[in-house]
Amino acid sequence: MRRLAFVRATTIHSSFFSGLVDQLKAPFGSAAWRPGWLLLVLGCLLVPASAHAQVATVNGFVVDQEDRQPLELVNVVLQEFSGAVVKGTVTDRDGLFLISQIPPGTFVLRATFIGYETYADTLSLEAGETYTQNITLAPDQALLDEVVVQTERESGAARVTAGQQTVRPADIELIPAPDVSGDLVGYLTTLPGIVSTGDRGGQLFIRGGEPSQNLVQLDGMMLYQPFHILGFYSAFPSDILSRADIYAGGYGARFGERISSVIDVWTRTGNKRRFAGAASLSPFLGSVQLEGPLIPNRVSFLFSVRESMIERGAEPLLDERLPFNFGDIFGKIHADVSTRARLSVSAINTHDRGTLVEASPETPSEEIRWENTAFGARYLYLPSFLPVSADVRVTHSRLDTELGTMDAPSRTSSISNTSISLDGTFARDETSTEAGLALRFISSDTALGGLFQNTESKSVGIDHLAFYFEPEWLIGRLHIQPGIRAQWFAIRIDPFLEPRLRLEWDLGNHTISGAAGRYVQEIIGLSDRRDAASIFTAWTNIPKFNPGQPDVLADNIPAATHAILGYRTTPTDWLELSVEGFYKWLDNLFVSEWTAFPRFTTRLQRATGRSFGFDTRLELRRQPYFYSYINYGFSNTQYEAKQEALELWYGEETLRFRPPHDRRHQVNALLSTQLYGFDVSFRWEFGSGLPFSRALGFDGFVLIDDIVDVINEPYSRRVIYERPYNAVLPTYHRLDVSVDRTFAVGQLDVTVLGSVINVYDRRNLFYLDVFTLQRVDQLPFIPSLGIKVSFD
Amino acid sequence: MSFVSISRAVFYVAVAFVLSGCEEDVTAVVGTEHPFSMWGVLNPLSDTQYVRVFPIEGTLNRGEPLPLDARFVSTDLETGEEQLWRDSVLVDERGIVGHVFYAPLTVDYQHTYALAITGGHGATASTEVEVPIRTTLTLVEPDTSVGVILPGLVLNNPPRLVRNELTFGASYIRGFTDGGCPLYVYRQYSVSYDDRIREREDGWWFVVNLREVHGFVETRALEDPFYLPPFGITFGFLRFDTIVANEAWNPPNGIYDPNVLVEPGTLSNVENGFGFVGAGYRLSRTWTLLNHVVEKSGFRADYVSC
Repeated sequence: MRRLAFVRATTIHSSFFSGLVDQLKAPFGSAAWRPGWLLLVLGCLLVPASAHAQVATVNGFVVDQEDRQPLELVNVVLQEFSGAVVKGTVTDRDGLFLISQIPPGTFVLRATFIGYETYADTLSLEAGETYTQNITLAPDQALLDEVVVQTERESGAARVTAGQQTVRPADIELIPAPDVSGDLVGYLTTLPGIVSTGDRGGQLFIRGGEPSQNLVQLDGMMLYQPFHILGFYSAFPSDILSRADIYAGGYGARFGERISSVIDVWTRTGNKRRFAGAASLSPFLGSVQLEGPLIPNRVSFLFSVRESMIERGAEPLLDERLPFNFGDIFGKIHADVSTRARLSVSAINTHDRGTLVEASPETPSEEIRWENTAFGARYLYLPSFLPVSADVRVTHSRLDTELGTMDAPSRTSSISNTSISLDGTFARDETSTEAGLALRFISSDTALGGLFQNTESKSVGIDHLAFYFEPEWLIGRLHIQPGIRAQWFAIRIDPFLEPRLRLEWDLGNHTISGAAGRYVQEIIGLSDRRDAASIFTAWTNIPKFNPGQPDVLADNIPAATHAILGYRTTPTDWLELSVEGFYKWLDNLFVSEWTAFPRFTTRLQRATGRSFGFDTRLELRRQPYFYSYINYGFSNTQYEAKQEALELWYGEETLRFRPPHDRRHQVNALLSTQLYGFDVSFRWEFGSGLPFSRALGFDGFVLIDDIVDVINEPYSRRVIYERPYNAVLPTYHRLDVSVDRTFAVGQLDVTVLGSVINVYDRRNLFYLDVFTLQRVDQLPFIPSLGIKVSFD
Repeated sequence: MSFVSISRAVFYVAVAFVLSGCEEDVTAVVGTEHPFSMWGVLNPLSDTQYVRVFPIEGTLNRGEPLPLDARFVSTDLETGEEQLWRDSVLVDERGIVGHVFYAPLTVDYQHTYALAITGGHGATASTEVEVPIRTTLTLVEPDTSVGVILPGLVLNNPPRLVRNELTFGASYIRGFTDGGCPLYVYRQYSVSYDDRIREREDGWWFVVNLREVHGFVETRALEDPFYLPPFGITFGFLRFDTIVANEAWNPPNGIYDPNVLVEPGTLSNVENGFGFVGAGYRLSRTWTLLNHVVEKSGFRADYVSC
């Protein structure tokens, strides 16, 4: 089997590249020559270079003097001596700024950021010159509180723009959790439109999409299953994060290969001036974090390790079995390799093990285990000959998943992805252009024991080549960001072209935004969503059509079209309100064929779907005294599947049903305040019931296709359903509270946190085994105490 | 808009949601008034009849190894004769308890039987099953005028014939021993004849083309790299099998796909319950062919000796 698969993979590689080479070799004017798109893109890239000879460029990195970490959102302007601003920009997450199209002359370069002393220097620029000026900003102690205000204003609970929301560590820390340090997933589950499987399972459904349709990246490294099995935790502790950009849909051409959403997470760099660290402990988790200079002022490291403490902590506390074990380890080295270049190397490993449903006389316990491993290098470079910044990344990601016993797992799936990518940003007046290309080598191995289209095992190697081009224009107050992404998958030689568009119209206190795009996904995750406790995902590809090997997946590449329209208003500096509507058209989804056989006799069938809804978010802030938000999300997701037998069973050819993650109503409220020197946070969440298939009863089935001997003829047990997903589970709601305070003890900061999860002990349902009526609830009332000791 | 009014609104909304979501329990199985499912075939060629019975339950459990609290009665609607069936409790290798009711009963052709099982709670599931007419399978003289045509006829026009199959065996040489003796390999094939059987006034007709059969075997033999075509293929046997079934035994589109038929109600004749009880019996005939008929079809009638 493996050998056959290898041959197939080799064939794909050769056909893919030879086809591409053939296209490039083909003479102009011939029928085979179709690289019009390529010429267009190359032309666009070259134009700035020719124009560069008459003007100058200034670029550089801005860092904090205290720790030499990059500073984002710093205003960098070129002024004439009269004070008139010639050009200006804002630094990105790497602290990078780039000002181009500057006429030759002498200017004042000024960098300002609330909470920091202003930087100013005089520059004389010649035509064609690209001048690099790195800037170090010194904190202004008197204005530190305003820094908090400024940075949070760029994110915030109601600050959503065309499906995109930025999350910063400070936002995450407001969410009550059993630990002193927060975790990104805690914040994500407060967002409208994101449905989770609750406090166990680690699955996020974003605006109607499946977990395997979310692109999750950490420092540009793809992570396939980054959310831990216990729902409070993910591979993203807030302590190591710089920012996370959540695109609930409508993402730009920079992102691809997933059709639902993007979670783009970036870690911060370590302190380049001095060592700092922290250790924390709670009934759920223990963690250690360390950072510091390897070469002072130039090279730093950041290291974090976390390990679950449930067996020794939470289980005795709750007197309830919680068979979960997980942990993660992260490391990053960041180096200022030259005035014009930055190099960072990141690596992460996560592991999860647990049993979502305990064994019963009827069902054996099935343990699931998964491990993510990823590492990558990123080289950020400011060339001296072009007004561009170049970002080169080489990454490798891998996910191994097993279901069953350690010795003899019943199902396994592995996927790995090695990626080489180059992104460039070209800055011009009122215009900037991003373009890039990526080459990925993906391989997957699955052994499913005959599940999913009777697939026993499958091993494939797939190449992806992607190119995108995304200019951005600022016309008055209107930002227009059209884009195109071309992706070559193994399934065919012609590229999949995905047009994208993002708009933002800034009207002062009012902002109108919109986004639309087309998305396709060749690598897919197959799960049996009939069963909430089944989180095993088999990663595989969409194969080419092969008449000798019928496959429902063949040539049917999953695709989605997104449309988003949003409005945001900030009537006062303490109030922000946003409303955003969305519609997603989904095609070539693969769902389990409907059957009355109990358990997993799964065959796949194609389905289409659509999801629409809207989010409303209201944020109130009077920090440091008061911070609150409330949001409401409405969503309506429907799948349509055609199955030959449907007409026979239900009298109609098409089965329209609510998939089990179709949560219609969601409310999340957060209140954070200070009382007697303590930080107090309340979080309340509400979700309407999820669909499930209610049964009439159970009997057995004997296939009467012969003069059968009913004594010895094999029979199956059968569930007698009314119709698929014809009922809803009870609503979900929960209140969490946390209180914390930080004390200075010598050189150490000691933070003590008390929290209560599920304050009013709501019996929220996680999983109901329809076959045995075994019920598994989410976590009950949990008081918890956490402590964190840090030095800086 | 003040803080106080906003806070108050938020509080009221929260309380409203809490009150609306107080229900914690869930009804996963709503139950049905149908008490039992029945599966089986009444066979007039058997002196004992069997029907597997599943009580329709609220959970999928293994069951207790005790007889069902139920009374199973069959009634011959032509004669009025009643028969009480007995429960045999079976426990399979999975530990699941099953119930097969049986009775020492020979069902008569063209009689209709009412089967009813009544639980201790009084609910009854029932079905009426008509036993098909008695018939025979006749093989008509071969027609060798054009090829080798072997007609067959099932007399008396029974309502349905299901699982019509032609089974044939043949041998060919894959080499020789050192002593020069042929090494024969025997192959047996079954092909469905459901699409080739036609009802006429005098019965259900089908036609076997022996040359086609030879071509079928030869095609597969040629896929064997050791097959030695010059020595030909020696004919083994030719048999036709069918099940004479009653009218009700008719799955959708005539296909016995368990993934389709498993859906409750898809092939069902049980009132106030689920399942299917058919009636039928097997017919089978093997051709005895003369050597010249066999050889005309392309087969060899003999074996190569040492």
